[in-house]
Amino acid sequence: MPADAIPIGAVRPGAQNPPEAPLLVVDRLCTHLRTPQGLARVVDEVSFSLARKRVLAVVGESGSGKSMLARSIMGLVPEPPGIRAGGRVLFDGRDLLVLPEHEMRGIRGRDIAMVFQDPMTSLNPVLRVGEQIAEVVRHHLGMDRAAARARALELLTAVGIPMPERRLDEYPHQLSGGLRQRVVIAIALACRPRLLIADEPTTALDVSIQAQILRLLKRYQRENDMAMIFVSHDLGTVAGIADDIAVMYAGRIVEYGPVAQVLNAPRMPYTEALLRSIPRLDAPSHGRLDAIRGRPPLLTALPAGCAFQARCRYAEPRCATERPHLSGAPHAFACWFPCPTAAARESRA
Amino acid sequence: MAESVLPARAPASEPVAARRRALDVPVCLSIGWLALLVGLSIVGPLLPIPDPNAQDLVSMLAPPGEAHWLGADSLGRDVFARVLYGARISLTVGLGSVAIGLLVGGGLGMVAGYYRGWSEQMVMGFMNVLLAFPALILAITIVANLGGSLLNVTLAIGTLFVPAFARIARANTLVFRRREFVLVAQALGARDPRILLREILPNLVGPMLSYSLVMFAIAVLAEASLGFLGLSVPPPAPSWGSIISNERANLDTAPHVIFVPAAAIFLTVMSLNLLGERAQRAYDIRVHGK
Amino acid sequence: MSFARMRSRLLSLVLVVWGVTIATFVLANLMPGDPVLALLGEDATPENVAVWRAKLGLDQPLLVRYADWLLNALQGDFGASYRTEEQVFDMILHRLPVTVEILLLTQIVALAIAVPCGIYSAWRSGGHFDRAAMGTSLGLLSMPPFLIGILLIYLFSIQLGLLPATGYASLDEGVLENLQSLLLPVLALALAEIPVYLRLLREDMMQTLQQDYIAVARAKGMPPRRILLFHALRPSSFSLITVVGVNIGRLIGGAIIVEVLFALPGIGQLLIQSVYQQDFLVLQGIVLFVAVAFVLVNAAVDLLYTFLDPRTSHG
Repeated sequence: MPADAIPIGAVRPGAQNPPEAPLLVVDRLCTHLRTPQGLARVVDEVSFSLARKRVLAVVGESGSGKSMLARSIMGLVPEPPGIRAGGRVLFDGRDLLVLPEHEMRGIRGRDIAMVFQDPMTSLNPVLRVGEQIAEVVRHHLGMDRAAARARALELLTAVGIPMPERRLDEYPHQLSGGLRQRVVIAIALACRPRLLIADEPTTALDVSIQAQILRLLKRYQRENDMAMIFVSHDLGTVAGIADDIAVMYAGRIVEYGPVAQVLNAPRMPYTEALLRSIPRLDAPSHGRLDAIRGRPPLLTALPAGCAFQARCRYAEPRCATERPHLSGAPHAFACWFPCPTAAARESRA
Repeated sequence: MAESVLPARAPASEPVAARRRALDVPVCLSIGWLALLVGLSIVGPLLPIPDPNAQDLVSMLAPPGEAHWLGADSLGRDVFARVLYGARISLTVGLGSVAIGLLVGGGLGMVAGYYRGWSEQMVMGFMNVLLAFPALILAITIVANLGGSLLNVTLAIGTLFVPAFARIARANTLVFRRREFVLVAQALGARDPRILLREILPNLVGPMLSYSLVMFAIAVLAEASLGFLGLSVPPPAPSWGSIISNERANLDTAPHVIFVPAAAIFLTVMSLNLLGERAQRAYDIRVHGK
Repeated sequence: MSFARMRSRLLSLVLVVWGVTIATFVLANLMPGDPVLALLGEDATPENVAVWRAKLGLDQPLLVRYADWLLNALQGDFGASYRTEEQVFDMILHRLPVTVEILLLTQIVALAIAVPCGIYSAWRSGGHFDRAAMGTSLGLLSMPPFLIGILLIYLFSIQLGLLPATGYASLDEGVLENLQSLLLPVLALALAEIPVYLRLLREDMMQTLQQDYIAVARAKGMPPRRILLFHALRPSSFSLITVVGVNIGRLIGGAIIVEVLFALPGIGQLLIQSVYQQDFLVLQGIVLFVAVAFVLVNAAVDLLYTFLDPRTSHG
């Protein structure tokens, strides 16, 4: 890391944040994947930190590495073909990457929990819903059958499932997609985790259900001082729920900062392009959609300079040869020729 | 290093690796053995080897040597010659029974899958009755009643294969009849027999042929089992199974008489299984792009 | 399962069984030769032949004979053997326990070995154990059961002298003696079936382990043993159960072979003997019995599957 780089997410002295150690510190995390086409750097020197009670949104296109980042933190990348290529993941000061597997198993589901994307396939079709929730508390908290069942009932009620007593003994295929996702969330929250990683939890749901799930997550997060990492490709969704946002591209974080700042005045052209590509209701009808031209680079053959250079409308020769580093605080970005700051925009307007 | 419950990505990377190693050692050996077997079977009678039925009581149970390359059996008959002629039997039965299965079973299955309705019900109902019999029992009953001969054994095993081929043919036909090129042909006014022959049949060739290799292996096994039970070609014909059955008593004194035909069965069936499975996998990837 | 579905299943079951009786009768009566001549010998007098033919009911038209035979069979009368005049049904019942014991022990042994190996193979697929297991499976599948039996005899009886090569000791003679006499035949048959079960379970488990809900179970922090045995084995076991049922057909064929090889007095040996002796009434009776039993067992397995798999029962 260059000398002038400031650790991402560092606490600003004098801010409203309480001066305590962050819950999660990801330090130059690297995950590689062995593919027939070569070694893919799916997570490339990602660093950030997350304090208790904060929600971090990780956004990016498909293939940007955001899901892989989530799995890398949980230690759920299958090896082979995955390789832990470096870095540290400090949870409460302990490096999860060097933890023996059985200790990691004690953390998964208990201190750190994960919600996956597709509710239709996240639940075991041949096990009853209640059983799938109860086994988490039985295993991690040593509850007996009766206590576990009671807890499962409590959770189903907490996530807003109607007639929870009946649902306990039903099978997943008897529930709708929205209800299934609530069950998945109930499973994740069963042991009151301190960190919840939600990997596109609403992508596979209807829009109306999406809002309900988001509200549920937000409410629970606030009431239980839970930290959350919310992975999504949908900027609109995260705006309502996140405190900070990290934009990923080609396995790297290219912009980071408080969500309002980043979304209102993005510095990284990629973020700006993402925002611009969201269709607006007030745009003239039959106008062209502003898509980002080109495609993301192959993770097996990353260019020498900036990964976004080929598709960037502000690219200069320097961008092709020198890779920019993430710098700035609290709003960090990785670009040699960033978009104007909010102040600059205002003075121009 | 963390252990992983998720299996290695073997299924995803296997097809790529398999494509690259299409002609690797096991495949070459299998093709080599089968080619050798077929070659020897064809030219067998022309070779300067002893008559497989010529008894020579002086060299009873002789170990492999000059006079008898692989030894002699309990009646002094040359083991190499008998096993070679046994190959002719096995290969003929295999070929014949697979042909019956392909033509009769494949044909019926194709018709059932294409026309659906009551013809499908009739055909599949008939197949279900055949399938209700444990395979070997059906074969035994047919051979027992028609008498043991090359033709009858082939017919018996062929009858066993008809339902198996019918199922595969029907399943594949059901897939293909929905494809656009069939609908186009129908829209153009092509008649059913033409569609079956020109559009559907060529698409069935791939899966049916790779299935045939595996079934060939099963045919060789079945013929050997029937021969062991004395229900294949009648003595003194040297079916591999009957050689083993006849010489069983000498297992302790002259095991070579049993091990040679045993090895022949093993190598032949293994080669056919290997090639058949590779063929099926290769076909699956090309069509379904797994 | 809905009543209508059960009714249609029952109907097709009855139809298949009826078709089996027709097929059995047709097959058993295709004989080109004359069973009476075979029985009496070549120098039988025409009057004798006629007498015997009438006695055995062979002078009736085919349809009548079929109806007679079927009606009798439904009441448990499968006719009497030409040779020994014993009731066929009694002969079958007398020998049934031996064959059933062989079949049961074989299934138990085969599953006891195939299931753990299949699970481990799927978990560590591509590893040393998996490759060895797949290679061994291919090898075993390339050997007919009688060959496996002969190799076992060679190894254990002849070379090591540990076990008897042939002969059967019934349960009355002691459980240990009984099991000892069945050890080699059951092992031979089991080795022939293990690769079938192993490959199927491995394939199914590998697919199951790729499913999202397994990743979720991992994310819950569940230990590998629980994931394999509880979360993954359950869905995969359903196809295994179905195959175990269908495989009984293959097993019956294998039982015939090992009974002949190891001289065990079961139904298979009786079947082959009746073929050699051209005692076609016995043959007919055995085939009918076995085929109908097979159909019923398959139907039962089907039913069991429907009750066990929640995806089908709570449709």
